[in-house]
Amino acid sequence: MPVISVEIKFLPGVEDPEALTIHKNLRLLGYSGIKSIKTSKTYTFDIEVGNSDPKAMVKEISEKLLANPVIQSYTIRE
Amino acid sequence: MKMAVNKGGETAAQKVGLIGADVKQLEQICTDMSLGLSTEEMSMLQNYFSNLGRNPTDVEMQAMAQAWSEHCCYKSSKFYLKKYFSGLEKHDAMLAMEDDAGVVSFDDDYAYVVKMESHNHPSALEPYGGAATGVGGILRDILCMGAQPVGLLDSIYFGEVWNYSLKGKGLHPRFVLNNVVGGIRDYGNRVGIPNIAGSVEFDKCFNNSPLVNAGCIGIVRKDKISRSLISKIGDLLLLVGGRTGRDGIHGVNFASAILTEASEEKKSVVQLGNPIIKEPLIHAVLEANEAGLIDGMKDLGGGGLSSSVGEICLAGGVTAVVQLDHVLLKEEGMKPWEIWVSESQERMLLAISPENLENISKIFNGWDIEFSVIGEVVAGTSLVLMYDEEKVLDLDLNFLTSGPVYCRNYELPKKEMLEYVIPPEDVNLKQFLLNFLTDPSNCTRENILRQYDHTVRGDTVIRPLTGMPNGETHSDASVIKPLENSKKGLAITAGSRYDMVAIDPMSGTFGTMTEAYLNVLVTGARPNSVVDCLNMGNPEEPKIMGQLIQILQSMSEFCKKLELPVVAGNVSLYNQYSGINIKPVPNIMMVGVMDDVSKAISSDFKGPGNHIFVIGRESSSLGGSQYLKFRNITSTTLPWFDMDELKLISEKYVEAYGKELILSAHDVSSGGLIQALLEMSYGFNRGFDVDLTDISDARTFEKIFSEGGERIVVEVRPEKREEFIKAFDGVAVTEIGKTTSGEIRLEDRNLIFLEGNVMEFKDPWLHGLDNYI
Repeated sequence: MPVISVEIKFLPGVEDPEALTIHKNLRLLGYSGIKSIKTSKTYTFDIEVGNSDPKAMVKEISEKLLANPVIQSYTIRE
Repeated sequence: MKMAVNKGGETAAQKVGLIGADVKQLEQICTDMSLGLSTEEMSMLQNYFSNLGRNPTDVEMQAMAQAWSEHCCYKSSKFYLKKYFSGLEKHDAMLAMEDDAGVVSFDDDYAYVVKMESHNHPSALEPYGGAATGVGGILRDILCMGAQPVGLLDSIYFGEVWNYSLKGKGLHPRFVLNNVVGGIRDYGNRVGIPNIAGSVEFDKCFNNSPLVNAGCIGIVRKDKISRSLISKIGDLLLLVGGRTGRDGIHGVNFASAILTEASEEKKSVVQLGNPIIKEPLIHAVLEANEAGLIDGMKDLGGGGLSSSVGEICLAGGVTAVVQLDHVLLKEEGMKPWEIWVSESQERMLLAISPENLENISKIFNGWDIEFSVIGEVVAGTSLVLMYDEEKVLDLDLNFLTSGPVYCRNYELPKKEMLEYVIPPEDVNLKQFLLNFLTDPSNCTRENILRQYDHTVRGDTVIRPLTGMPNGETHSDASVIKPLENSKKGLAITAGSRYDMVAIDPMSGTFGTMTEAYLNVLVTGARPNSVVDCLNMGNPEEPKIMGQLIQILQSMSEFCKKLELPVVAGNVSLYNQYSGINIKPVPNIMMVGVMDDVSKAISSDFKGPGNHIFVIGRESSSLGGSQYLKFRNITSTTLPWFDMDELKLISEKYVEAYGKELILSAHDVSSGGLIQALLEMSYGFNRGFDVDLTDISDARTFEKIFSEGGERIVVEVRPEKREEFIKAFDGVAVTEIGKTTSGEIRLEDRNLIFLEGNVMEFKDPWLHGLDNYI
């Protein structure tokens, strides 16, 4: 049973308000020495046996639905 | 505060080989650097630098390209804007078409600040981020005048959300709709400024060119108005707020180009907003302004630092030396030209005296807002940019910022005689209405409006939805009470009759202006300023230039007649996708001032047994109406709009408002008289029993659906009837019936056309957008 995961993250240079806010608040809470924070989202696909090319399918799903190519990139991991 | 990134020994800026290049090479340079300039403009630059005897740096070329883009210098529209608007009186306006936003006198001590801007191109590519940053940008325009923003508004235009068989790579209108609304909602609600007015429209022509026009209104004490100009030599330039990154590079060049399928690849133009920085930024800037520490202020929008520094200095007759390596960056390794033209959000440029730096630091540190000193104001005419010790830009400020002016060829539309085919009136009116009311163009906007916060700050008197809680109807204009110790209010509206403008730009624009005027007037406010946001197709086509000229001419004529100043505006051209131009959309924002908000008139019928009147003459033409559009019938002429009658009505109406003669009022516009009556009914589920016989001799369907003229439907208490009729002496006023406790009945010449109750019509109206959002 192949398990494939896709990580969706912002393209370099795109504002990541959530990470910036966390970073700022960690500083206020006294955590020092954190250079930067980035957020990302991971989807894990548990794929049925017999699917001939699950990786290609997940790639298609990522492009079609999960990632917004204008602001996000995706990385597929098996 | 400094974050110097020097790449030991390497020069920061590259020279561009302009001198001696042939036309083909010039075009190549233009493409390689994504400048978006025409070949003629490249030649102009070549000549300029040949005369200087040196090649430009890449920073200089990028700065020129940005300053000369349509978005920044209005090269296609500047000539005509000046021609039609420069002769207008200012009336109550203190600053009209001068600074980032218009400033209009509100009372003895306070002024209100207004502006509306398009964010169409970014929203076409990344609807959520594009719409959110549209809201963010317009807030900064108000803020940089030193004003506290008190209300946001949005006019948004989408394609066929209902169409499942759209071809092509473009984003589906439904996706665009949901994400644009999401962007406006998330930014507006988080930044804590109420969303109070606007419009939502659907048409085929917006399928791949959605329009997002964001507006804002703010309030400022007259002695605290901050100008978008600096004239004090020795002042420091401060960049405050968000950091500068690679997001939004070339945004304006892109906004001045036509969208094609290949545009999807242009990724670097998209910015995402960050309202969590904006909120404290607003507080910090207003606190510094209140303390009198700021000499001049400008927001960084399209065009980034390049535009802001250039314009703020040019306006004050000074120039500046800017140290680019002092700009705080989001990421390392940015090139000087990228820093200079970046359109990252949430940034403001402040000019302050050096002795105030310490106090400014305290305020901004207190709000946890980053800033850095990036330069100094100097005398002279040349703008100089430094990166470490290297001079990367040295240009005459006037040449850089003014930009070329074009008088493009134009062609006025031909008048055709054919009006419209009168459709057979073979339909049952009730059955027709039940379908008509579910159409996205005619149904409620509740699904969208409910996502916005209308009342945060606690100033909203009339919200976009009015009536009983959870069962409200639409308002015409919203009313806010911006000052704690004054009963005076502001009425605000925005929208466009673009279907009419497409048929005839001249009278269609009269229609648009009339509707905006009536929307403000019906609340009891006296309209006193206009902001225009013109959205058009490709100006290189003579037909489009013709539309632009007629729209401006018509606005100018209307404003002269009704004594209104045009205080701010925005022109968005090149709204074209793969050869299809949008219909011309002059989106008009109008603001009125009301003496006492406790007398404000809302649009919902208040109770049974009251008299219903129509103020204004009927214009019996279905041209440009929703009725014909719904039945797929094209018309080539429009009903008339009579500005003299409008002026007269306006005087009498404001008096009647003062005497509290009117219980509720709604203007007749989209959907005609029947839509007006029904919308008034929905608020408290009160019905109407009306007889159209006395309105005119026109056909019944024309009386029901005509959208012309300047008509207001009003509800008057029986005991005020005589006084009301007397108050409107000299104006055409027709009594058409009475309100009921829920039944609806409509007859004309003893024939009954409609019978039912409010809920029968309200239900389809409420659910028209349910499948799309």
